[in-house]
Amino acid sequence: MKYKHVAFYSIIIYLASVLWLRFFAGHIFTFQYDHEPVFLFTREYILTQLTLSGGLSELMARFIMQFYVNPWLGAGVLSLMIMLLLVFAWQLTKQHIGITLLFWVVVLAFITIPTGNIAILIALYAVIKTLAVEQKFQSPTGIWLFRFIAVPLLLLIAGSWVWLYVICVSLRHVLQTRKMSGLVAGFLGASLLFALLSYRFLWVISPHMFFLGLFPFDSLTGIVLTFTVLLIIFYFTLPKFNHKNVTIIFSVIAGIVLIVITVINLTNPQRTTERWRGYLKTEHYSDVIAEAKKTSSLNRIQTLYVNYALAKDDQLFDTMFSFPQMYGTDGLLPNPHRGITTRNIDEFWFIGEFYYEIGYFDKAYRIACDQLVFHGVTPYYTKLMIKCLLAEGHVNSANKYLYLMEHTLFHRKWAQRYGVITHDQNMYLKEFASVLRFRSTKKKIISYDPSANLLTALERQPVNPLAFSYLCVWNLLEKNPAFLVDNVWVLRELGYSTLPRHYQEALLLYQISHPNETISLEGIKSNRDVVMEFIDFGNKFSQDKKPVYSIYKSMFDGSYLLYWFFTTNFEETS
Amino acid sequence: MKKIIFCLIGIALFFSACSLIDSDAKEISQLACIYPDYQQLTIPPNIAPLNFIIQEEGVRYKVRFSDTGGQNFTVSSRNGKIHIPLKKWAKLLDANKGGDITLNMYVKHGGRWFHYYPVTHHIAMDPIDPYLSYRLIHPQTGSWKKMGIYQRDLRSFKETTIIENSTLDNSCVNCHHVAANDGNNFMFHVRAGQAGGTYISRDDEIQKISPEIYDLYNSVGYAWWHPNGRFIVFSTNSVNGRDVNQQSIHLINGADSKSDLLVYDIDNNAFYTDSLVFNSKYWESYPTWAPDGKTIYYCRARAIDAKDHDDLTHIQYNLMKVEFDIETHTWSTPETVIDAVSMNRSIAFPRISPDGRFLMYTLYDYGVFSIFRRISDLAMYNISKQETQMLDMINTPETDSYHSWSSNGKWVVFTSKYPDGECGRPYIAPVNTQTGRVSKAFILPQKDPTFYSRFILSYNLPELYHTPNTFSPYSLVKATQQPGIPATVKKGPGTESYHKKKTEKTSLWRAG
Repeated sequence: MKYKHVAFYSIIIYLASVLWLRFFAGHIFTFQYDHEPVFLFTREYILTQLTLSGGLSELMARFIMQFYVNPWLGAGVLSLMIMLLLVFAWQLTKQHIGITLLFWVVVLAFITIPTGNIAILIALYAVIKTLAVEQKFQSPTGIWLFRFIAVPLLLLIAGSWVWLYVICVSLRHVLQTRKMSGLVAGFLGASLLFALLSYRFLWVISPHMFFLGLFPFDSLTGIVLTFTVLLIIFYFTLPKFNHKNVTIIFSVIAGIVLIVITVINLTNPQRTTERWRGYLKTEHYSDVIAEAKKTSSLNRIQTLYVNYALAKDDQLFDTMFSFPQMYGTDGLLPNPHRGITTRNIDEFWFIGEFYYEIGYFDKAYRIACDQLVFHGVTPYYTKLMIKCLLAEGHVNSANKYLYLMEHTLFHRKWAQRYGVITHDQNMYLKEFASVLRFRSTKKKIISYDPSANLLTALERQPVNPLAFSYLCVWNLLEKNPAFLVDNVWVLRELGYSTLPRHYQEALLLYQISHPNETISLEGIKSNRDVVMEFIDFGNKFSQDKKPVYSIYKSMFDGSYLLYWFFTTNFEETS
Repeated sequence: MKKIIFCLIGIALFFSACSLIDSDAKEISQLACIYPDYQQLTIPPNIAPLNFIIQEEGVRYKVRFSDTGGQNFTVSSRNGKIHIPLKKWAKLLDANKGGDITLNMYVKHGGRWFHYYPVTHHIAMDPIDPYLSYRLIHPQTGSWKKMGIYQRDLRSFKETTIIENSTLDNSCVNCHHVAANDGNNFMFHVRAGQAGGTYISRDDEIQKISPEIYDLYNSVGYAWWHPNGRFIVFSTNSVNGRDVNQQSIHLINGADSKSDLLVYDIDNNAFYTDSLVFNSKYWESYPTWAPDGKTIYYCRARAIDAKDHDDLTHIQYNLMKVEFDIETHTWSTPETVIDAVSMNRSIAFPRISPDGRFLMYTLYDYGVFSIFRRISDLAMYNISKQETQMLDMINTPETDSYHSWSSNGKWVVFTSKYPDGECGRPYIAPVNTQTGRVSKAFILPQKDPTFYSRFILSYNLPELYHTPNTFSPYSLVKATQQPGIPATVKKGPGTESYHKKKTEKTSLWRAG
């Protein structure tokens, strides 16, 4: 095939990859951008990575991932890598279209796993490219010399993927010569020695890491990817198939796989979660609410995000129970450390953001720190940490993290701006005005119990709209209306002239069980419609011997009363 | 011949340039602002170059290092970073033991050179132990992933890894200690996982033990080797919980639910204790062996059933001493050395000078984590005179805590969270062995002078020693794969005299 054809098909593959990634797998960019370490343009960082076996592929992966800051940019850069990978795979398989197509689809499938490590693709690229280059050598001396040089280089670039290359070339040689020569044995021995050196003789600790370190055996897609690569190499090793039939078979398989992964991606709840997080980040709260209205069921993270969007859009007290609240307080403000193995990073994002916003910087800082310790210097959490430190006045500490952000491609300006803030009191006050007014200077315990934290925040500054609405709603979910009864005055301070729907429902429920108590409404008007609905509900409920949830839902949809009377077990209402 | 002429011309031009600076530079009567603060110090003759950055505005920088004997060299820079050549520096220090060296700093700004007031360093006669081990960990220790114990050669910038937890299933590695400043006798703990246990390395042989202290503890904590290298005194602690009720967001605090003392005989794999130091009435912790090999200094707090955060303020330790006979394994009656509680204070990390005359300790307000108390300061206790002096020359507004003596008693290393309040940094200070006074401390030098302003890990538990640790990662890995040798109490009070193991966690506070 002529080069212009290669260029033409490459462009087609590139564009197809860009569009597919952007429209069917955009969530991976959001996810990885938030949770993967950012590439740092510092000598220490680069050298540290390079000294690790397979460190170059990790380094290049992080370089590519920094472009995920924009989904289009991310798709563009990632597609470029895929295109190059395919060109070399195509060369290696002696221009076999079927296998190349299948490989393309499998690569797409693999990178749409949010935790899929694209360093694997780079490692693959290195192995395939090495095999492709190797074919150009004619003399046996030249080829073996090349192989002895290639192994240590591949160890540096691709880590344990080197074994794919070593096994492949050894097998090929044995099959071609039909004997196990001393040269092959020497090559295998030398490869092992190189690997031992590369792993600083620590391979005994973890043979798995040594031989299979970068192999993605932790996911089905990863396994499929590995086997596809083996297929390519097998084809390269034993090219005795019927070219035409194989092309047809693999093209059909590729088509089917593409359809399957597209459907999977379209129905993947994470796709929704990541998109909603994008809305929240850009303060498009109404978009989250609008999409949630069209969704019949919400998972826990989605419930968290919807409740947050409602709070930010000032609708939490009025429409919260129009959305399924099947996770109780865990769907409102969970404790991220509730279990040793619990590390839901989508949840961490929300909790960090929430605590920062209510002026509880200690907690937000710890969330950010936790992420830093576990995932490295991720842009979002590092910025959160800087903001918390600056808000608390820890300029020297913040400077350390600002330095890191200054050595990134896309966050440099942000860091420079915050660097100025550290010296400029007016800019500081302007930047942190929205959160500093809630800052607690009182002694406090940062608890695992979110409601205790909310209470502490409010003890310092009761007029903290987000903290107050969350604590009220927490008590609604816990069916404890007494808290709301005691704090109507805060509602007045927050500027409410009419009682919000759920707040009023809670007061009415309390009044029923405490008929002798007078609830002061602090001059806030009650809503007559809510009272009428309450009476209707009460009348019907008292007459029904066996109340049926679905009937009540059709009549009183969105009412807190439904939650109050029908939710004894969070699974039931679902 | 031409080359020689060119070289001579170059040299002549160089010296003329220098003299031009000297004569034409405008004199500034103040010290130049430099980072780190390496101004007017007493430094060991074997310390690595004190690289620094001149923080004065300028386009060219020159520093001339000289002594009174005429030895000198100049370091130039365009960004203010002064990287001192290692060999020239070492030669200069070696030639000036007991004397002074002078740093003349020149800054070119606005087309003119400025000469700042010279910095003078006094070079001590006595060297510092050339090796320093420390743990590097993120300061928010509530969670961890990567951590390790490293060894720094103080004569250069060479840092080697002793152990990294990436080889130990990411378990927590902590509380290491070396025997009598000899890095060959080294111990540390690994918490949890298959590798969990206490590792004791003597002359390259690593032994892994799994302590089983009745049914009360399955690990040991703070450690101190006996001077003979055969015994180790341990505290064994059961941490109740953590609390973050602090003034700063960087800090946490906590309490034990119980802690006691034991002596471990390495040769016989046996623990020895007594109800005097192993009881339910007190918490015993932070033990250290006096150089005489008989007396153990430690800290003791009244045991409380801490239920909430306010109870933490009642956790305060006194400094105690007790004698342990290594032949008969008997303990004397503990005596109070410093009654800190009566002063509403608490003591941690007693460390005795090698000559046995002074005891350096951390003085703070309450709790078990002095390294997280901003109020923590260092103090020196004169054992014979029974007097304490606060070490104001080295104490800072931030946490000043964990410390270690050089084997000649002339130097101490300690961690201070100054200036950022978040990360512990190792500082070195000279000690007057007659008075116990310390002089101005300086931060451990790094190749890049801006290192500390961007390094986000904390230096933890610095320990000085004269002989390097040499056990290989391979032998360590081999040891981790062996099951730990069960080590039990051979002589002690028995469990009946002690509170039963608590089946439920009593913690009412936890780190958020």
